[in-house]
Amino acid sequence: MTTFAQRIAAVLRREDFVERHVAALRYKAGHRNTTIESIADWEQRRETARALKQEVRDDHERFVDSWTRAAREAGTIVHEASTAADACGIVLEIAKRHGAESIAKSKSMTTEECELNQFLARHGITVTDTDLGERIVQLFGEPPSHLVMPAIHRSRKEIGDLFAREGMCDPGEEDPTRLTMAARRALRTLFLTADLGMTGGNFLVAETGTLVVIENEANSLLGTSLPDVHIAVVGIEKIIPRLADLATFLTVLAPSSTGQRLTTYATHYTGPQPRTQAEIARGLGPRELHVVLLDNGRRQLRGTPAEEGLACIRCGACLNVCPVYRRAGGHAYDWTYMGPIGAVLAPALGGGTRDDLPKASSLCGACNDVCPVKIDISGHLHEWRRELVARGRVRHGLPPMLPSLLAHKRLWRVGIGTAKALGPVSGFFAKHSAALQRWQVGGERQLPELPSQSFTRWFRSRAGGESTLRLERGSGPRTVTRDDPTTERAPGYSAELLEQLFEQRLIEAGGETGSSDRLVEAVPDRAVATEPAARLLAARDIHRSMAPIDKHELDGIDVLVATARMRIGQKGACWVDFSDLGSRAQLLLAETLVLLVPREAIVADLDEAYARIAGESLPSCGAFVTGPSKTADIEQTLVFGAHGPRRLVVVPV
Amino acid sequence: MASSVRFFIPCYVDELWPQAGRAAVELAEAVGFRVRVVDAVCCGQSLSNAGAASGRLEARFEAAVGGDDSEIVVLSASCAGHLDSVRPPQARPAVVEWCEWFARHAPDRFPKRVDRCIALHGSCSALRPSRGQPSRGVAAMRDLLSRVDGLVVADPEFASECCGFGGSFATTFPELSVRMGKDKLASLRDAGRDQGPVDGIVSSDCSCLLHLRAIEGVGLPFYHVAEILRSAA
Repeated sequence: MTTFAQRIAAVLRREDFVERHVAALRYKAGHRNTTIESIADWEQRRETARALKQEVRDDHERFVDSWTRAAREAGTIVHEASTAADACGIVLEIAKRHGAESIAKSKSMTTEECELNQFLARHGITVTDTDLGERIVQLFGEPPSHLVMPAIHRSRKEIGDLFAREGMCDPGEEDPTRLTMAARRALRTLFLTADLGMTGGNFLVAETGTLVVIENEANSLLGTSLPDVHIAVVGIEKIIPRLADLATFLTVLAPSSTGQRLTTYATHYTGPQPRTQAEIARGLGPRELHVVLLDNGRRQLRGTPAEEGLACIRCGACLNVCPVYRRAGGHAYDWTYMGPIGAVLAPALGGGTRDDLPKASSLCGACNDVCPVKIDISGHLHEWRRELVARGRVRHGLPPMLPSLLAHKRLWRVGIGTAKALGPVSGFFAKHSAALQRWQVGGERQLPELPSQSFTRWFRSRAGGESTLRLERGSGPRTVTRDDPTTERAPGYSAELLEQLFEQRLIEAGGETGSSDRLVEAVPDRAVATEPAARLLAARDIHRSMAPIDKHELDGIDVLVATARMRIGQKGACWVDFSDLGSRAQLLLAETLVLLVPREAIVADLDEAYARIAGESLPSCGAFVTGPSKTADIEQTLVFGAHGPRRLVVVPV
Repeated sequence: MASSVRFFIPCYVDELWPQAGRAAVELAEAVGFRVRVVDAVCCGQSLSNAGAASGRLEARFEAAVGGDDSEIVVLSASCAGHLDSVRPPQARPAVVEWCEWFARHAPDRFPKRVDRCIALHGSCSALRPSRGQPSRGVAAMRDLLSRVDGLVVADPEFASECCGFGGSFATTFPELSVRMGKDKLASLRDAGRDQGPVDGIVSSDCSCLLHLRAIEGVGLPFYHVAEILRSAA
């Protein structure tokens, strides 16, 4: 097996890759910084998120029990998997029971961790990764290289060549939009025929038994909406206390991850969604929601330097800023969890084969600056180094004499004196000391010359003869302007300002607003409508056909009009209660989705939104929808309509 | 009446960048301090970062500074940061990074003009809080340099990206360390794009500077903040 040092040295010889990768991640990190500047309570939110994760860790088993009980009450089938093998076995058993041959799976690091695809393939079940980046790496036959941008290591040319080989596009295609559409076409067929949908999970809400899945492309939602059975494999550390806490986690996750204000879809699953009347009329059977709670070593992290790593919400921000990850790429870590956070978990979860990863950091602390849950990542890497060296699992790698030299001033002076006496260090020592050899990297970095007079010698030589230089003392330090984000809460918004804010944020997210005065422009004659939307339109003397229920009939529909329950001004998001839809597929398969929202149903932020959702009743399925389906998995180029609607129009009525 | 101050000159400054120590001492004396130098070699960071037991060095440091409550001025942001991270909160004597200390006493304007454009390299320790402690010195460094007439301080792009030194990191992953250094040098060199060509690089950590200076083909001089201020005195 190779070491990180060998792998990184090999990567650095691929100049093109390093250049492109560094530039892509600097761009991503810059996007994050721009977004958080406008989030007034950013630092408070991070602190709250950290404290919430701590609250759960401090009483973990009670939270696991609460979540499990609430989820079961809602009708979710909860499974516990102690190991990766257990999780694979559970999924296989469910798949067999349903006679499933084809599974549409969205992005999930836990299933990577369990090597579930390979396991199911051995049992004759095909798993297709449906996130664009995941699909790309799956076709390449390699693991993801980033927690949220799995194919960031691949160029558009490499992806074009791959898709051409797979018969998905013409040879020579390199345009990210056309490549994305090629993948959309191929995967749409799969969604329509898959027997089972699988996801990971971003949050499990102990209070309500809810599973929350965050995504941009709509591939998760398609995978969980079109097939009847949804299996989520989720690490036990994903539990958070209360529904209202999601306001904080959603506020910090998307900016950290992609620089968005909110990810396009944040779907809340609380039990399997009952079939609508229309679906029952078509003879559709009940849905099933399975959650596999995965331990796989997580409980054993308690008391190790990896323990706080359990707070990670997998945003990837620490990867994006890490100078090592930027130049190494995810594959150099040779492990499921890459980058600084991966290195924190590696010695505990890597089976003793990843003990060199905590050294893969200059301990610069850039990761700590951006972690949305304030994990002391570089601190834990430092703790691991000391612990692993103390236990003899890794070597500190310093010259053997160094600790003694530094501990004894006299010995130190003799050592340095000898080096000076032997002439420039570039002589004997340079050739024969392994550390000095490594410092020079074959002549790329020079050895320092030893100045003839050390500071100490100069200081002593003055023998009390102080400098004659004189300067006037000043008035002290000046107030230095700092770029710290302000910690004030967002001001109260007037109704008008809130409307403006919503529109601005929706446009940022790629959506459009329509005017209720010119409603007919937003809902052309060919548009079809869900039942509540059709009623709203009819009240304005606009009559549109009822949208179909069936996924095959919905596929290729041009404009579909549905309703949302409320708008969130700060995020440009709409809350959609899925019980308002004739079928879940209605939200996902049209080219343009028009959402009608009662004009007065607008709140400022997610806190207010959750208060309102809790005050009414939490639906079995509901989502924040922020703009149209999108992806930037091919060289960070934003493309709308990754899998779901290409356009989203929101009309307050 | 001269008041007295204690300086800790870290091992590598002592032997490899003595000019920073000299400038720091002369400036302190110029504003009326009598400088005493702490009799310790290393704060322990070089061992600790590699995962080696550093307790012996830290104990030596404490023994050298103990029995006297006057603060210790450290001529390195990263050594000051390391000492903060291993010492109990509120430990006496307190440790302060040199720029932060000197900003309290330096003249409001230095007497001589320095007509140069210098790119500022904030070391990771100067930029970031270290395990719950406040960040060391980049603000104070800016404050001090702003008191020199004619001096233009240019900020590089990607300023928060590490230069690749990182103590033992530099020899554990030498190719990576050099690559990071080259990228840092490229952005430092380009930092003066709007203000005229950069003709020097300044930092409050000589360890970063030793690494950057050693990388082939740089062609720019490197200075500790104290050296620049000394030239304005």
